Amino acid sequence: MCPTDVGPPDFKTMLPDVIKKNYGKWKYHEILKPGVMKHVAESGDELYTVRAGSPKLVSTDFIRDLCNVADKYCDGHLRFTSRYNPEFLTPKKENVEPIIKELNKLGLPVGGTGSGPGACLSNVIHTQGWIHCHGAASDASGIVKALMDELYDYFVGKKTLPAKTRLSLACCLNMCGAIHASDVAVVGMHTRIPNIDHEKMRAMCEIPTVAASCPTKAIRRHPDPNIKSVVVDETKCMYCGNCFTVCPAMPLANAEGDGVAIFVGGKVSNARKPPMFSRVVVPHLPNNPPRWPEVVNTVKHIFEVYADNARMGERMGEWIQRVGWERFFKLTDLPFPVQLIDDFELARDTFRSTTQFKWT
Amino acid sequence: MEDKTPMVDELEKGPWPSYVKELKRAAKKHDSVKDLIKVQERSFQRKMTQWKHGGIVGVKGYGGGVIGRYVQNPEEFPNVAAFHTMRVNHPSGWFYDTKALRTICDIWDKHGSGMTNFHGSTGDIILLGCTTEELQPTFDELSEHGFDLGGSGSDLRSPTACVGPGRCEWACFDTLGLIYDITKTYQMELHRPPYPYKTKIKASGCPNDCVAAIARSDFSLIGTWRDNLRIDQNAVKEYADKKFDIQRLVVAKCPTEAIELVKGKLELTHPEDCVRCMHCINLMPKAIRPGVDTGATILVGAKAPIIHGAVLSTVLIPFIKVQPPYTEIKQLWEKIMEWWDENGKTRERLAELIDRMGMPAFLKAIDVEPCPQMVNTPRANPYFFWG
Amino acid sequence: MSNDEELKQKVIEWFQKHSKEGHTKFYMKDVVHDLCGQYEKRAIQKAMNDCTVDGTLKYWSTGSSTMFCLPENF
Repeated sequence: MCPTDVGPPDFKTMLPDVIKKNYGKWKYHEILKPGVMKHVAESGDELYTVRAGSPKLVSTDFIRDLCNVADKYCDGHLRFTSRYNPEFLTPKKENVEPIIKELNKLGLPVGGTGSGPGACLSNVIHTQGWIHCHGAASDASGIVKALMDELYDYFVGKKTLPAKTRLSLACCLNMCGAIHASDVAVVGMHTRIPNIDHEKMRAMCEIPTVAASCPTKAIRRHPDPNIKSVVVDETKCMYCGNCFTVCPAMPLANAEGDGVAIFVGGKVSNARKPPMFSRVVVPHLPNNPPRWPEVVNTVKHIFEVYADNARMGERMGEWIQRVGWERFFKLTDLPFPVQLIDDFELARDTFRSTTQFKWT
Repeated sequence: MEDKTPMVDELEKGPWPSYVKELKRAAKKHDSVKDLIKVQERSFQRKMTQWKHGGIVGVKGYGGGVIGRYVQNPEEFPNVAAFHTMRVNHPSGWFYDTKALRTICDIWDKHGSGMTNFHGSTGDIILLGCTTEELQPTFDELSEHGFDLGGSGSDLRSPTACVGPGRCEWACFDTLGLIYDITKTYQMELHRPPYPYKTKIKASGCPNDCVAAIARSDFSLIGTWRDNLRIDQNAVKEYADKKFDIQRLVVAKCPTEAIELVKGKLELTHPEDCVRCMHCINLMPKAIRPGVDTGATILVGAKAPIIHGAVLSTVLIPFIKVQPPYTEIKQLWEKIMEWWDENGKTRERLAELIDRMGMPAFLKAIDVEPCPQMVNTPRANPYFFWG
Repeated sequence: MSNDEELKQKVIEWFQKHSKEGHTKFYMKDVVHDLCGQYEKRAIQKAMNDCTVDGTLKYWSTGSSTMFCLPENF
């Protein structure tokens, strides 16, 4: 039998020499242009990084393409960012332009850097969607491709943003990938209760486990003891899909009901304002493949209003905090349906208990 | 007719790199991906997923690392009838040499679909689409070449670190070293799900938190420092000479008014007020740096919405030195896991358990003294307990 | 029979006793909770893992939650 529990390879074996030498001894960095950074070590050594865009869902040949570039210009080393951007690392400044040229030849844009005024948009964090997930209320790779085709200029720096802007997408409200603290998050949402398959329930699921999985106690044993299944209380179900996770006989997918919600104003970084959650500003937009025009237009519009109105250096959530949510809805001209008012746990924390507000 | 995929084809167009192009590249070698493209077209037509899940775990001796996936209509799409995911644990910081990457690619082309995610949300390399029969052979070959699976199910998910000292001047501790050590130490917890639900550990070297530790890890380590910012006045002058508006962009935006421009010099006039938010450092990386007495703040509890809503981690240990062999940190984590494992209900994350049992009970159980850094404010209600 | 083998046997007996139509998959906690009066928690956990290697138990995972069952109930 092959060995188990070997763990991942030791990262130290994967580092380029310039990093091994200057590990933990970096002094400062500069962004030379969108997608190109220079890090300078205490020793005076320089490290150039070229950051590219990636579709995340890639073939092995894509990885081999990246390897070819790294072999040619980076002594066979590369890394990926926490947002899936491949990064090419080299101590040689003269390699930067050739790397960019090779990447562009492969169809890969270079950009996605910066956190202050003039920042670029980086890769979109996203989940699997219809390409591989059983619980997806929307696609992931498809919408992201449609979004990034329209937001491309923000990635390559032809258009810039007042500050770092993180766009993320999750194909259901499980929100794999911490997208609940993004400047703009697109989230796949079900709007119909599970469509129970009683036959399958009998064969594949265990009623106590299914009932226990429901956070709002909407699921109980079927009143007819001859039917070994469950019923769902429509008034309590919030379409979270927790039951479907433990039982394949409770699918929530519904072609008419499924769609996406848009959340804005969250962030993870502690810079300036503390981390904050993204908030729902559009509760539902339809799934309209392959290009999801309603979603793309809404996100693009929010980007534009933010770019036009925020002060330099303000994250989206910081801008909204300063001007107020009421001004956000005025400026974006988005409607304010009742679904935007919280009625889950801790809802009261979101209500306004002051006479201070702005007229819109 | 059936083989036409016009909606999927549409997404080959446009400036952003196309995943459809990638699917078609893999489809030249793998029949499963030919079916996968058709499945994607079908989901576009029907506006619904075409997948179902199942209980398979797959690799002998492991309870995690493989996610079972089956297509809803295997008779129509036989080549993706079983199309499981394998999670392969990444080297800390996602650093690779091309030899390692080519090895993974070759193994995956031999045994699987040739489609991957570099990387998945948690940080693993995702090998997307493996038949049931090929799971074990894929693992065997990966393992022979020094790779191992990542976490899934009720286990410790693959811990992740930001680039840290590998390339960042702001790294307040060795995120890569710590995470590699933790990953190796807790292989048992990573591969054989022992817990009520998933649990995550993430380490970011500074408060910018590039791996989103504060948003998604039950145990979050975020770099910080106890002394003062280091300011290089010559570099400050360089920024000023380049017409960078230090007053408006940096001084006026300091959240605690700790930093001021005094006669052309940038000074931390109220060091006791600095909350180490990184804003001034982010905007003037050549002139301002974190202090030298560095370590980490440990925060706990972050999670995504399932079940009681999303939670951000909250402060548990304001400052800890992070040095090998990391004994104190590991002991703390083990104590927390013990309490959670003992008291947690199934599918209840740490934060939800803390909410149910109360933060004071949690602190008592893990033997951590309360301190004001843990809260935004003390309680406003009079309902506290004695005894 | 060694202690390890004895505990594994207990674990399997637990599953045989508790598995019935409509409820065959259990969380590790369920088993640990019932047997922890007699045995150490870690020992029970280890025995359950060992059973999966022997093939007398099987892991069953939703992807996010992991359970155990007898092979015939997989």
